Amino acid sequence: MQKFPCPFCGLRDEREFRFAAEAGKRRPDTTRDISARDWSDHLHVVRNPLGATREIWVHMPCQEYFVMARDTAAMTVLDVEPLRKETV
Amino acid sequence: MTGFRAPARGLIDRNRILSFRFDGRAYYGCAGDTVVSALLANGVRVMGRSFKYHRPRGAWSSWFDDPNAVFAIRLNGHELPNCPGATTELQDGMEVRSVNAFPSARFDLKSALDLGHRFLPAGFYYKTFMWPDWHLFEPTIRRMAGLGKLEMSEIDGYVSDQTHDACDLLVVGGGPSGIAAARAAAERGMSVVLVEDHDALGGSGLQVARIEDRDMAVWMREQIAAFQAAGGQILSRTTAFGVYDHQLVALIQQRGFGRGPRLIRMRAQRCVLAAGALDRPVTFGNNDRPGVMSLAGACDLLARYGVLAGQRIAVMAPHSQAAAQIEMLRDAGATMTEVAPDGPARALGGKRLRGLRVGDQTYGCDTILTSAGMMPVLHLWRHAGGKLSWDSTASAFVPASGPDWMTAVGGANGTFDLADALIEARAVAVGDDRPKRLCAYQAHPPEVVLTDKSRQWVDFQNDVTVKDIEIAARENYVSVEHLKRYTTLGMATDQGKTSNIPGLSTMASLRGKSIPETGTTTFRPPFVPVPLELYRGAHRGQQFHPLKRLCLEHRHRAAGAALGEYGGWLRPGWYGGDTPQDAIQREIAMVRHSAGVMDASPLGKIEVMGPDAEQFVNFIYYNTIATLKPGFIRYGFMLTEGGIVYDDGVIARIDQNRFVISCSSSHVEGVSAMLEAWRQDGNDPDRIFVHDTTLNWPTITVTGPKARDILRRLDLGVDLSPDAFGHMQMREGRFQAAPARIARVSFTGEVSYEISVPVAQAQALWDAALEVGAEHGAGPLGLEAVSVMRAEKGYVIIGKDTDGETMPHDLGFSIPRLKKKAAFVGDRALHTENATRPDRRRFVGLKVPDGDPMLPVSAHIVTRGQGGPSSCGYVSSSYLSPTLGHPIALAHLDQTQATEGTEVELLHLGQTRRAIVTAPCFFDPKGERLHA
Amino acid sequence: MRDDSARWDPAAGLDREAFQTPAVTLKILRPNRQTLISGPYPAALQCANVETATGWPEAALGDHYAVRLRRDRILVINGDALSDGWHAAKGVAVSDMTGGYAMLALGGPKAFDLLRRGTEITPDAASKSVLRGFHGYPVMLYSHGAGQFRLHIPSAMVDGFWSLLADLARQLE
Repeated sequence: MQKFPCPFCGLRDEREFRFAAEAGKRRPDTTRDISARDWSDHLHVVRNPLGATREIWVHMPCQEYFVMARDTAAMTVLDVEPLRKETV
Repeated sequence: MTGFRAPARGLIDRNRILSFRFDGRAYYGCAGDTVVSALLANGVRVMGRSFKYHRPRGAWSSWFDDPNAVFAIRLNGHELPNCPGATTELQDGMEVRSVNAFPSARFDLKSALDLGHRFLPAGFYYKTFMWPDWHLFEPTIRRMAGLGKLEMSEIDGYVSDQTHDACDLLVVGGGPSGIAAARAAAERGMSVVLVEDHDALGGSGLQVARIEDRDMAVWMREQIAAFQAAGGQILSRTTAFGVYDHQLVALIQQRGFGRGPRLIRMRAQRCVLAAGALDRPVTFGNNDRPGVMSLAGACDLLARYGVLAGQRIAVMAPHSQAAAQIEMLRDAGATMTEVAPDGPARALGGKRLRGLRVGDQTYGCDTILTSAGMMPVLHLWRHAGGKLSWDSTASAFVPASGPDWMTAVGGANGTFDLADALIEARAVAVGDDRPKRLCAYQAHPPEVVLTDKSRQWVDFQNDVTVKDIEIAARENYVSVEHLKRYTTLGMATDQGKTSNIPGLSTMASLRGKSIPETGTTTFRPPFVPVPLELYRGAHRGQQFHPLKRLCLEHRHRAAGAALGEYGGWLRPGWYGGDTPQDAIQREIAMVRHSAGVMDASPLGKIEVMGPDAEQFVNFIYYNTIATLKPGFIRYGFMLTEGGIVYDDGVIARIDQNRFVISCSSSHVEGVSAMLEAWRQDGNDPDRIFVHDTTLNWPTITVTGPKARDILRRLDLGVDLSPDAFGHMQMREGRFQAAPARIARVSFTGEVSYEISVPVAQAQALWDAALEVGAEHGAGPLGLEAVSVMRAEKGYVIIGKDTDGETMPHDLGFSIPRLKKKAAFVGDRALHTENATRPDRRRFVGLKVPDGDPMLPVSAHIVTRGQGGPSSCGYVSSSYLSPTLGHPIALAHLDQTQATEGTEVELLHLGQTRRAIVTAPCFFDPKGERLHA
Repeated sequence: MRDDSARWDPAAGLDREAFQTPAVTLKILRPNRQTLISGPYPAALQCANVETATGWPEAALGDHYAVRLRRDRILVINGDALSDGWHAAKGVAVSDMTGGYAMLALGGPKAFDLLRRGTEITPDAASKSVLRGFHGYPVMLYSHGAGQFRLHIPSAMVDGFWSLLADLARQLE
């Protein structure tokens, strides 16, 4: 059972977390034309690499969404970064 | 008698005599015995039968490496199957039965199977699965398989405990190395937990007279006392059985026979693995005979239980630690004959051993002790990702590179000399470098030779022989993972603790390769068999899937409610003691003629607040919300980004900066989470806040033509006249001096008011509504009647009348898709090739010809082509409508077929039905009742 | 369509006797008010009229205090009455949740051992938020003085949660 560091709450075990998305994906402006290919890529294509990856996770109890860099092969957490910059 | 109790040896309490029975015969043991040690002390050699050939089996060893002595045991009304006799503590009154044997282990009728062994070779199961038909064999094989029976009544009272813990250092194994490591670390101020699977600490140290110039028992006492004085914690009867991600070590702690064990999820900063080593069996002819045992196991039996394995013992143990072990047994009074395994060897005798033949020499004996060398116990090391390397001097796998938080010491590291092991353990415990060993251990296991003279056993429990491995090699199952599955090698309850290395070395010999070239199978948790109950714990009964409960549940029960699960809540389906069908019809008639009072508390009440709330809700919903005025309500869909309908609900605007989302009762958590995800993705989270206030606002719905008359009597402080308070509007009023929110929305097609009040007022409101309602013939209303009434109106239930492909325009809601300018979730996906397909399914109603019964839900609507019928839709809801007096159904149908008035054919479980396509709304299509 | 009334013990809600064993004591508390305030942390504190909001392992003391739920959310126990909705001047959102959460007091010599059965918790691993998953239940959990703990659970789950704690308490020796 993995332990993940929520940037707000600190280390908690994996039962409290959910994967949300791969980091770096930006929703396209849907009020403009988007090709079917671009939309399909946005919606369905994930890199899912073996090794180092950057993902958005959510700590469900406190609903903090954050970036987690981890190694999917070694199952190690490399870094976490809050999406919100203020640290109070 | 071949075995006996040596005087004044062991940790057992000879003054506490325990009586027990084995296969019906009475025996006696001592407190501190295991079932196996007690049986051996009584001279019982045959303890069970092997799995496939029903060969007689005796104990191979004294602890978890024994694959043979598996029993069904009854004590104090508890009967548990699959009890490993070597690790089950003996208790007074135990009724022990051998398994795989009928009528008893000594006389087993199925042992005739052994004569047919030529017909049950390796790959038997593989081959019978393929040809001629597994089902011919299955009933017989199933009846023969299994290691005892478990009664349901046993499961009910058998409950494990699960807990979490953490420590700086976890020491696995309470032998001398483990104790020394634990003490050294504790004295450096670390929080240390020492786990030992026996009741008593000591491990292999119990077999020596002196440790570090002290009497062994004194040394143990001193070390343990110092460890505990330094704050160390000892968990005895506890086995570390698995290592999981991020340094989680799973421990199972036994709590006595018949009582569920304890699971401790231990998060360890560091782990010292001092799990010791096991004997590797020598592979020779008839080596499965009762009386052929592990040398180290025999020494352990003597040291712990004072049991001498035999009186005339032949030993085949070509390694450098054997001399001391042989001496120990000789000291205890056995006649020891050392035999070098320098030729083909074979055990002589049947249930009773007569001798050992090696080459041309025969050695008379009643017991054969063997060890082809010591095998470090490295299962946890492998669970943690540690690598193994082959030590050719020791002829064993030893730890190579591994995780930085785990270190193996002592026997587990191949450090078999006690003095070396203690130095190593102390250094490792405090983080110093591992010192060089002073003593070199050597082992020279004999080569495995294929012979036709007698069968040589590799896996004792699953009956895998050298011959079987040879067949696997011949049929090209040479990868060890294939070998394992083809022959079932290592798949018995001991998971190959004794059989894997002999199996690998056999394969290596047969192929002329080395053991490291042959490879090992994967080591997986659990290290020892654990009951499934360990993983269940409190997740049982009503805790398996706990439902949310209404604060008025006691009122519903008092009113005779039939409660059922609806979307994660326990809610009234209907009221009254008549049949469900009658109750539901009665409630529908009541609502259509007067009114019903329903507990709608689970209905979502998610508040979205802040200066950006309007723009945010407008983005979340398919429908345009930005134009909604305070005091008004709009129906809308929430979509996924793929354009699929996720939820429907109503959105009320309370003021400029505040909306209340009433989503489906079953979707409150999901909708809240979805809102929060979008809020933090691309929005300014300081300008939007989402509060799920559902549980603070129980809701009572009053619905029916008399609803307004009932509400008037509740003194809500709101003008209820239709002109002042129309359909799809919301008002804030008071009920008994508390705030009340009244929303005029309807799921029945009648005038309906949803009144939400604080929890403290809920019961008073419910009682008042029913009391006033009774004067009008109104009464409590359950969900089943509501779901019929909503179908009469053609309203969807998300997840019932929609599926994973349903888009809003399929349900007849097309305008936002075509007209809404602002971005919204799922917008782009509504214009893909798939979303605009001409044959998309449309939501329709179905009527049956007069006199026909209800259509079955999930019946397929079919068209007939050349290839037979093909589905073009299905029935999603179907009821007998008491309002209309005929069956109604809702369906999804290819829109090219969906013209109203079309007759369609349906197929369901071989039956053919006919129906006529209609609009989904069957009742009051103009909404006159709704707007009344 | 099935009547499962008999499969579920009748819900007692908050009307229940204290649970007492030599190991733990558990009882329902009935605060006068519980208020959810969301907004930038300093603004939320100011709105609640408290100095700080408790996390783990520090203790909340007295009867009027706040606990921290999220980066931008606190729950105020027995605070002043505030109107529900958006408070534009302060930049905070307020919701009364008095009936939304059941509040439990847990004490006794084995109280912490009981907590460890439901969640991976240690006395020293600090957390700003008091929210946790506890055996699948979403709870707020914080200290209220030495050996005393308080838990808040969504009120619709109090029956299941109470019987879970009672089940777990029976495992304590």
